[in-house]
Amino acid sequence: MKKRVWFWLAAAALAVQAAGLGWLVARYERVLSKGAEVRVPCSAFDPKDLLRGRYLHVNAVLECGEAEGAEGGDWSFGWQERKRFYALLAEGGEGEASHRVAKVSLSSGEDGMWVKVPDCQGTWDSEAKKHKLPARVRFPGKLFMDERLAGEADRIFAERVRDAEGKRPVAVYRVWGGNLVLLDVELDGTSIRELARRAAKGAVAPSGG
Amino acid sequence: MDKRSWLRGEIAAWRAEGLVDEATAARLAERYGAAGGRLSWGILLAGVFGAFLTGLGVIALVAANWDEFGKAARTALALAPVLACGAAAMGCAAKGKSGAAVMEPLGVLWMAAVAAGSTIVAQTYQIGDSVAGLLLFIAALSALVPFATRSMAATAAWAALGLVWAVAQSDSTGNSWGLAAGTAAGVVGISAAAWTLVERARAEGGLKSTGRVLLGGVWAVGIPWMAVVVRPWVWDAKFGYDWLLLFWAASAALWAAGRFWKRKEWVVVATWAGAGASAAAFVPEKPEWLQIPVYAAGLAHAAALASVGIRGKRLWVMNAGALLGVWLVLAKFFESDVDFTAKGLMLIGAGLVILGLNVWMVRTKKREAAK
Repeated sequence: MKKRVWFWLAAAALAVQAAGLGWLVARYERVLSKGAEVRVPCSAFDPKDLLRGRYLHVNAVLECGEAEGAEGGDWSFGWQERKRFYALLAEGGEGEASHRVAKVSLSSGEDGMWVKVPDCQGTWDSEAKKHKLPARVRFPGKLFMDERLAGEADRIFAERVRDAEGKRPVAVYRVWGGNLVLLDVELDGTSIRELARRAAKGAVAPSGG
Repeated sequence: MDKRSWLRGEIAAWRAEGLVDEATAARLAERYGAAGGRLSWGILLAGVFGAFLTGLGVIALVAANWDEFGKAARTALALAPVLACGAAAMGCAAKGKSGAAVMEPLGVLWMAAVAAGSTIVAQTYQIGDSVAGLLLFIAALSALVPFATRSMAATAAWAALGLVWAVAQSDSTGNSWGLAAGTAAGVVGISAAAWTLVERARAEGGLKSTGRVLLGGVWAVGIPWMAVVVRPWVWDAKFGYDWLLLFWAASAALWAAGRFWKRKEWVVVATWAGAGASAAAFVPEKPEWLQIPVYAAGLAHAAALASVGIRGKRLWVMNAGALLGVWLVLAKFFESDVDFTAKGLMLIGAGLVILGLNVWMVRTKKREAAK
């Protein structure tokens, strides 16, 4: 291969990579800077990923009573095998939730705050032996953390579950252009990162808010 | 002393005695593959392995998720190794440096840099629900790397990325008939192409060897892989090490066939495929009491290869044993609960030591050839 062709091939490979990574950063920066805040009550624990290290597995779920195509509340129309779901968020959530899920669908609608969600499953009716409404809509649930703090965060959550006195933890998201980005998890309005940092330094007891 | 070293010495003696002129000596050396600076597979693989370890170390450091860095610093960290590898490839192209000793490790390092960079961005923005999606993104960004570096190892890594993506895509019920069918088609297709290369009367020299290597590779790796994919429907795998036994058995069968029918290429492929299978001996499976004996068998395989290589003065066999041993020890370390930061530093250190040794060996070989 000619030197020149080879040089431009390497340059093209580099350009594709820089553009790809740049596009990813720009896309999610836009969501963070322009997106609306959505808060969902959650629980969390700390597993680890060999590639990306330790993270908090955030279990943030909202129920929804309306699904496109699920007439009469019947869920037995093949959604269990699908992998892409869209949820329409509307203001007026209950408890710590800032929003509610007004509707779920297999395709995004045009009006309103539609977002892509990783999972949406019907409730299992053991008597009828089939899934039915309300559907359980799961929000993105991986909050990557410093490996020195992830263990502390896990301990704080475990203590909070045992105490069960404070408010439920809340997953904070930003929503823009159909994308959801998990920003943080808060306990009584304080970031879990901040609480873990304080606990690591011994300044705060794990159950303290 | 191997044949090439002997011939190199003879040609140097003929040149010194005036039997041949410089141009004829160079043409003779080139014709019989005894030209100075020619690299052995052992050196090449050591370089690739060193780059692989360094890349793994970078990924482990990324996985530590250091809290101190802000988003701008993390983006710079994601881009820096990718830019460095791209700039190195462009520099090599500008200078016309296309030697495998440089390009093979560079290809592997570049792939690892893309994986690490994508991972950092994914961590920063908490994009993590789809492992298959991340793998596809890494594969798309690194698609040109094998072409830009002409690195066989990078090509293999890219193909492996595709295979892992296919596995990650298969649904949670374990229904992977599509994957099994794809593997079977691959085995049949590559076998057919290789067989044609070998058996066609016009296929000569390198083509025949390439065909035998392909055929040996697909039999030693493709067939047991296919068996592993379909095993949930064929037998009840309560014995967790069945897949390892399948790979060991396929390598042993190919090695025996190579010895019996005097096919050197099959012996070489079977040795590497067997070493590759042993490289997975650290994976814990059931029954638990067999975990340590299987790991010990992997280490014994490494020691046997290194010892056979040293006794027979075959550098590639010795390196296969050494690389297998280092890998097994590091893999156990990587699997442990030690912090990702410590793992990353350890892996980068091991990778740099092997890369350093590789550079030293190349220079030594060049010096020897110059004499």
